[in-house]
Amino acid sequence: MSEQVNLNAIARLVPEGSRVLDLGCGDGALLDYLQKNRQCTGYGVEIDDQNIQACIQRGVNVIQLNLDEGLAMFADQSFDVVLQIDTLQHLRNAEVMLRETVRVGQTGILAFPNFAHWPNRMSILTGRMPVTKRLPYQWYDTPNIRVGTYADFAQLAAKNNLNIVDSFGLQEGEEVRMWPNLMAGTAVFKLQRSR
Amino acid sequence: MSMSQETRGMWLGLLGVAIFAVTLPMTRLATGTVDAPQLSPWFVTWGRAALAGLLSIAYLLITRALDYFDPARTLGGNLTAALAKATCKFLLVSFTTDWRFSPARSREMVRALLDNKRDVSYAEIDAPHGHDAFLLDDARYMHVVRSYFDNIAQALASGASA
Repeated sequence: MSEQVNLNAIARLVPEGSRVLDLGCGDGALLDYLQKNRQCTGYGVEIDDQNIQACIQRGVNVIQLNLDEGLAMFADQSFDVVLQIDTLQHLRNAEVMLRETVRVGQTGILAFPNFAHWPNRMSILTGRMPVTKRLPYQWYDTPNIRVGTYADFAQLAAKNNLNIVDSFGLQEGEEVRMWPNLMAGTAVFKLQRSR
Repeated sequence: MSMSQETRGMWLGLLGVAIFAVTLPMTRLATGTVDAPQLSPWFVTWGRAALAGLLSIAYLLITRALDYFDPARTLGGNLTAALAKATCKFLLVSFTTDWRFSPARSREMVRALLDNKRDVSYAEIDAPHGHDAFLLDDARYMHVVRSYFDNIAQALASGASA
């Protein structure tokens, strides 16, 4: 999710001074922002060589790891916040990683494209897969192997006994709390393990 | 070294053969002739064997001191405890096909540093060249190390504590 406004909205969810693990941190922009503006510390996890270079160039700690191999390297509850920003839709083991996220972190914050956003629904109604600013790929070349909705995710969280501390939609950097499943291009969830 | 590895190996081989060739006349000198015997042939034979054996053992000890180095040996294998004293920032780079310093070992170190909440970055470079990959001009490896050093240089130049 490259749009700065959406990143800022997510950064607001991370308490100041948190120890953060950012799964699928991309070029490290969010971690960089959190370190400079919210006194956070932590690490990014990435698989892509180019992104690793970008993170190191920025001076963001980054660990090259394939998330499909799990998070064995990280101890239980060793981070205040574990982020999965636009990562979920690329993972083969999305459900395992969801559990790992709340194992490693006290709090998990996830954001992913909401497939049930109304323009996507309109597109499906006309018989075509959606191609939008948020989902810019053609069906045959998309890197997104998991297409889910805000409502779908709430169900997955419940199935895994996760506590949804907060959830809302994001659209152009604005929180959407009314009908987020219909009205927002991005779904955001803040989760904790049930005690 | 302008000589290629192969040429160097050939020359070393030739030197080895030459040195070994000299041992034959030396043995003759040491045992002497039937008319004027010097040292007992048994003594010379066992002496040669023992000397060669000791040299081999010394060589193995020196090389294995590197291979079997374990910083956590005195701490019951607890690498986290072994690295607890380190306060600097770390960059680890491994190559996927390196059989000698495998990525698995590097990940153990990364984990120990994470447990200690140290600054650490880790790049695992997918290269087919085995242990020698680090000698080659791999653009990803070069770029990672260069960026890391550039950051240190910038931090030093701006007077911040690196």
